[in-house]
Amino acid sequence: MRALNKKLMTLACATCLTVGIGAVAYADTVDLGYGLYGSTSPTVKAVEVVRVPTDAKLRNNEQSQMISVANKAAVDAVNAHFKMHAPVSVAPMKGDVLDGFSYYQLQGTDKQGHHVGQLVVVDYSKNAIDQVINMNKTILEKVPDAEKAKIKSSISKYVDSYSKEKAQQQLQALKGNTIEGAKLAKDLKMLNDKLPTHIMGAFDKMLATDKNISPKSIEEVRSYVDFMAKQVSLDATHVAYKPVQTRYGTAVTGDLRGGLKYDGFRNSYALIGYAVPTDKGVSLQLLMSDDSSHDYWANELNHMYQTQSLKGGK
Amino acid sequence: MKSLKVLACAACLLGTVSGVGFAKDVQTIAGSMVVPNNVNVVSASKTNTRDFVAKQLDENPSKSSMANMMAKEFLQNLGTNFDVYQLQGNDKTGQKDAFLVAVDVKQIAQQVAKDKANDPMFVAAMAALDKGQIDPVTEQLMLGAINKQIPTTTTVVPLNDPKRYANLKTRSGELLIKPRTLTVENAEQVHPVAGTKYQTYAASSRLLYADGNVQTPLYANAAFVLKPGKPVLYVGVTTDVQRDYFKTIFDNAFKSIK
Repeated sequence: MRALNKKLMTLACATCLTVGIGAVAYADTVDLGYGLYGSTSPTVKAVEVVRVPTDAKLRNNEQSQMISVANKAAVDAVNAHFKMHAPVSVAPMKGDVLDGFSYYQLQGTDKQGHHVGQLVVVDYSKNAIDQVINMNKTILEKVPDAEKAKIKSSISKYVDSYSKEKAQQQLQALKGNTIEGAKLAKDLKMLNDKLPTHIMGAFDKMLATDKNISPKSIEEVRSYVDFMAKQVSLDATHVAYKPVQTRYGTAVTGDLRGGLKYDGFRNSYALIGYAVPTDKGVSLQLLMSDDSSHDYWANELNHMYQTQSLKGGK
Repeated sequence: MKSLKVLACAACLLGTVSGVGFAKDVQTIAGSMVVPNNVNVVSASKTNTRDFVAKQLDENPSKSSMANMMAKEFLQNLGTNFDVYQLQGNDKTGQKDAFLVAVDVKQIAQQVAKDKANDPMFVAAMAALDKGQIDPVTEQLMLGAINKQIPTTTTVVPLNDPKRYANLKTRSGELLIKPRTLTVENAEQVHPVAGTKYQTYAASSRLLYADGNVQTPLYANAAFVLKPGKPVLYVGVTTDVQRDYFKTIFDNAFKSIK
């Protein structure tokens, strides 16, 4: 009996050691910003490509420079957007839009093959979200009554400022939605019908800012872009979002499975997104992969975030 | 006896119906190939972009006549001497896409190796390609030489020499040029394919390309179809997770070329 016990003990120890080593060898940590970290499952490796921590004290010179360049571009983009689309003038955005960002390649293998997923994490600051709410509030206040009805979903109708609690309350009340089949095909047709006009509109606005191009070359380049814009279309087989409970609190997750088509050729992909509200801002995570790897990565993220459905999401 | 005949007729009928119902012919540069009915095949030579570029070249020739000539030659060869196809399908795990490149080896060899036109080895090789047949002795020698190079177990092939670039570092101390490798997995030896119209050789492999730690897992399946006078090399490429779906489709498509 004693001999048997000893053997059993050895076996148990060996198992623990193997499992322990296995777990240590593969499970990796992913920085989601604002002190949130994700742990991949034992069979998934996370390769860090770019990382700018949200905590400024943890950044090196290169990372500080990267975030400063990114913030300048982001502030310019937000201001350009409001300048172009807002019906009334609003106070321009100041300060930082981004607190941090990171880009990982996740790698895993199962019987289907080697899966890779590109995980992009963007941490949006409370400062920027508050300013966007205020900008929308200004628009709603200043816009003439006749146009007010057109602004259906202004964020300022729901919250006056950002906080984790307010964001979680809004998410808990959110009703999940899934669009597939004929309904999705109809929506896509509408979108694709307008797509060439949208692309040309954006292109013309871009050309208008450059005064050095001759009218002849504008016409020539315009005819090329016009042709190409007509060959582009978006394809989707599944679009969905729902509020969920995660180890980081209430969050919202969404899926987009589809492809980008050009002249008959297509690039299929799957996007899985999570937005997690925190006290300092929102951590947005997007995982892009082959459409065939969608289920593999959906399972992995569910594991990483310990995702559970919420009533509102069903 | 009668029931056997009925059974045989039913089987024939079923075979014909399934043949018609589940597969279709697609034109490629060496001839038609069969793919399942639910797989859509598009080719670069039949795109609107090809026609648009051709029209632009006629209407607005660029200042460089050399560039014009090269572009026109490219378009003339597209769809005859080479082409790029995309196979599009789907199954329960999602949408599936694979690229397939086809190249007329004789035409390309003649263009690339113009200076070797008098080389006896080159002339012999061209004659063999013209005939569309390789005799059994040459076949054995050729397959032996090629297959010796194909690893039978998972092998990591270095694509650059990391030591050479060890001193090139970013400001944060990371290597600027990372080690690049290609991992060859489940490689199939080049083998003759039975039951084809033209003598055909095929091989396939999983290829994991790594740049530093970032990976691109691919799967390639290739066939050399010795159509007399027009030997064509087909190379199908997709991602590793779409391998199971496309392996059979590629194998059957290459086998069916006529």
